[in-house]
Amino acid sequence: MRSLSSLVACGAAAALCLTACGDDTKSSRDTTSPTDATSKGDAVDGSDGTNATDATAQDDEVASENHAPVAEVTAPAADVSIAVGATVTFTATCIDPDGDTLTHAWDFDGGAPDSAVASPGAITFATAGVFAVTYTCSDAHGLAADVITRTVTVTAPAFALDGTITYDKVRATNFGLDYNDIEARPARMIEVKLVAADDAEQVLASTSTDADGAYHLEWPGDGPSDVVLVAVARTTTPKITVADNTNEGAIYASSSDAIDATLTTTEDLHIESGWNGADAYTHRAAAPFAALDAAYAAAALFLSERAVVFPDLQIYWSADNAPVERGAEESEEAAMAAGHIGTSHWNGTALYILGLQDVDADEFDDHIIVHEWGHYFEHKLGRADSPGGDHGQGDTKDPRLAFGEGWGNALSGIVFAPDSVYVDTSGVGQVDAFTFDVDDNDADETPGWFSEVSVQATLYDVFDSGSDEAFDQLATGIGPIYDVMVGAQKHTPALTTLFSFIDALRHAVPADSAAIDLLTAHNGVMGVPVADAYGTGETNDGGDPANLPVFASFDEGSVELTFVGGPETNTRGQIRFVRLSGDGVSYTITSETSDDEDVDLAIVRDGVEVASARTEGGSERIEDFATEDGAEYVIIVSGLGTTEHYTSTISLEEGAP
Amino acid sequence: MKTLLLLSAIVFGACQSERAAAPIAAPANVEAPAASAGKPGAPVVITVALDAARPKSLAHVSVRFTQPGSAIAIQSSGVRGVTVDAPALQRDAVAADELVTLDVPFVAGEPMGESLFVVAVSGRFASGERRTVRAFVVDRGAKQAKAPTTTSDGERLEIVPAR
Repeated sequence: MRSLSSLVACGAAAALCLTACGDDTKSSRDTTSPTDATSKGDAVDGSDGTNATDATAQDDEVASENHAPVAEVTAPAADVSIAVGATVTFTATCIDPDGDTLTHAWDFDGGAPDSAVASPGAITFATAGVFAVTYTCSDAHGLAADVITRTVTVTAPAFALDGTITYDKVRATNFGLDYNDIEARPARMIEVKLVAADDAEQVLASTSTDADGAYHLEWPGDGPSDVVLVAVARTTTPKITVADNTNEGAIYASSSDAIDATLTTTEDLHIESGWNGADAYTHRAAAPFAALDAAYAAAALFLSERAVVFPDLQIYWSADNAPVERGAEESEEAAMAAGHIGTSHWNGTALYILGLQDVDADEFDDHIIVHEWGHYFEHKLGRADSPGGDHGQGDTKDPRLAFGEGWGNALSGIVFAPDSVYVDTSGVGQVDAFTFDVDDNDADETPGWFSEVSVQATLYDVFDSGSDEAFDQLATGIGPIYDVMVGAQKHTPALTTLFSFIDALRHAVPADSAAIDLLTAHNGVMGVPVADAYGTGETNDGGDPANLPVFASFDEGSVELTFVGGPETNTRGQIRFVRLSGDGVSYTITSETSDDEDVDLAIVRDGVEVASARTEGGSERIEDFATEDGAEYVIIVSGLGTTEHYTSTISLEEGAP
Repeated sequence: MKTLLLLSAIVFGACQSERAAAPIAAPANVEAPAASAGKPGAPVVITVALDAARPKSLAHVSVRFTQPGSAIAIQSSGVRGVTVDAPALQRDAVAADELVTLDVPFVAGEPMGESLFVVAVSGRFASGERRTVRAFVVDRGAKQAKAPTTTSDGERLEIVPAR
């Protein structure tokens, strides 16, 4: 406490006393430059307010010589991240050059109560957030050190969920789908999303399952804890998607019940078939995943031996996909949107799979899915020259069609080997089925290069391992088959038939040539060992000499071809082939046909059509067709007549007529 | 009474594309469209003409066989409002190009979605058993709405509960 005398003295010179004691001199301090303050520092040290004779000058000098304190936050040394409820120790030092009394201010940005001491110690952050914590130190004159900031990121502990995703695979048998034989299979390599239970649109995390269907998900603890697991019918590598063509291409997904992540860290999701145990499906949740996994199985087989980069594949399945043919007034787009897909098929861009219960549904018919996948493979990675159209076991077809369909059938057995029995279920309650064994080399009454049965049995035997059949000495696995399909078969100057495949295979695995010849000789599939991709010298005419040679050649500028008439357009003998070797000369190619029957001409090079003539009637003309020297072409002559046998003479004339 | 002639010829794009008119000497490198190819089926062409008059209607079913076969069964049925109560037509054998016709009475009830008349033909042919199923639209009822969910990552999902 001050003495009375002091009070008197101060009272006599109040203005001086207040100033000397450090009261507000803000106006004069604000005018002091840093340079001034530094240069006058020594004077400040010596000013104790005792020189009352020069009060005004002294006042100005004290104010201008005040120095800002110097602050440092020693802990934390940098920004920090912590979990909710954790502590951070805060310490600071602050020195005032003038020895002034200091004030301290910690502002925790709402993360904790503010503090007015230099070192508040351990501070607990109870809520998640990002907090900009500031420390400010001021001297008695209000002059502050630079504000120091430490950012504290406080996160809630992450939620985690692990589990396995499976789907119902209903077994397809000779007696239809067997709902008493349902296997829980892993949903392999599919995408998984975690969404909020109260908002299915809010994706909290995503991942994919592994080969066993296992998944692991994490999401921030400040997110919702009530969540739903969503399995998406799409694999990641390769990318195969199953979508609904009758719902604008929405991708199928299947969801769990709501999960409280605060109570569980494990959630298995089993996607059920929805069969009610009696006579109907209540839902079809497993169907898209069954189709997806069959297609994935096909891709996985190739990936097991070759580093294949598969183009994305879209599979369209719907419970409304019915064997209804596209209407005459219906666009293809409208037909697919209505589910009028005709049958399960590959249309050049996507797979369409039947799904109408009690009529024909193919989602559990693995071999059908892979058969169609085989067409995708041919079109996207290899090459398919097939004219398409109806076909089946025992048919004698255009050899391009026979190869494509035989390839699809064989692949269905190869992928699921040793289950080589193709099953197609249908009917009321899915209780009907027809089957065939792709490994049955003796199934066809008329084996040959025109038979998909012969093609499928041959290709399956090329692949399979171990056999008690004397004619089956091959077991190449899928690798060489892949090499041929994407190599020589894709680039053959001929057409994609069993001849081009076998010729390429003989070159790919020359050590197995004898075994290949033994196999193709069985049942006379090939009458003689395959000489080239054109089947030159082939003797198996299927009972009709008109079917040979497989590829005709011009003899002195013309060739007469014999056709088999009929209502179809893809049967053996309805389409004939003529070789044309380019020599840099332009030609006019014409047809003259007997019985006023209709034929069409098309010229292809490496499977690509480069010229055509398709008018009504049997007289066609392709004028001034410029050939490239050394190039190989095939003239495809399509007979559209109905007469049992008729002929067409194809002529080659140099230059324009 | 309305009569609908419906043909199921199992004929796909490639066959049609080869028939399509094209100018002589088309430009080079015109790639033909990829051919559609369906799953293996029976060697048949199924045609149905529907006399759809409620309450009783008649389907005139024609099945042309393109190959000889045996143990033939032609079974008609209906779904989504169409009721058929008729036994399968059995034939011990058929010849190539033989046409088998039959009239099948059916009841066209209130369609539940798109009601369909269905014909399934099975039998033994050159290499074994084969089967083809074809369906024909009788009536179009209200389509069941299927609202997709658009998630925050931009996916349009048709989410079905797993059970």
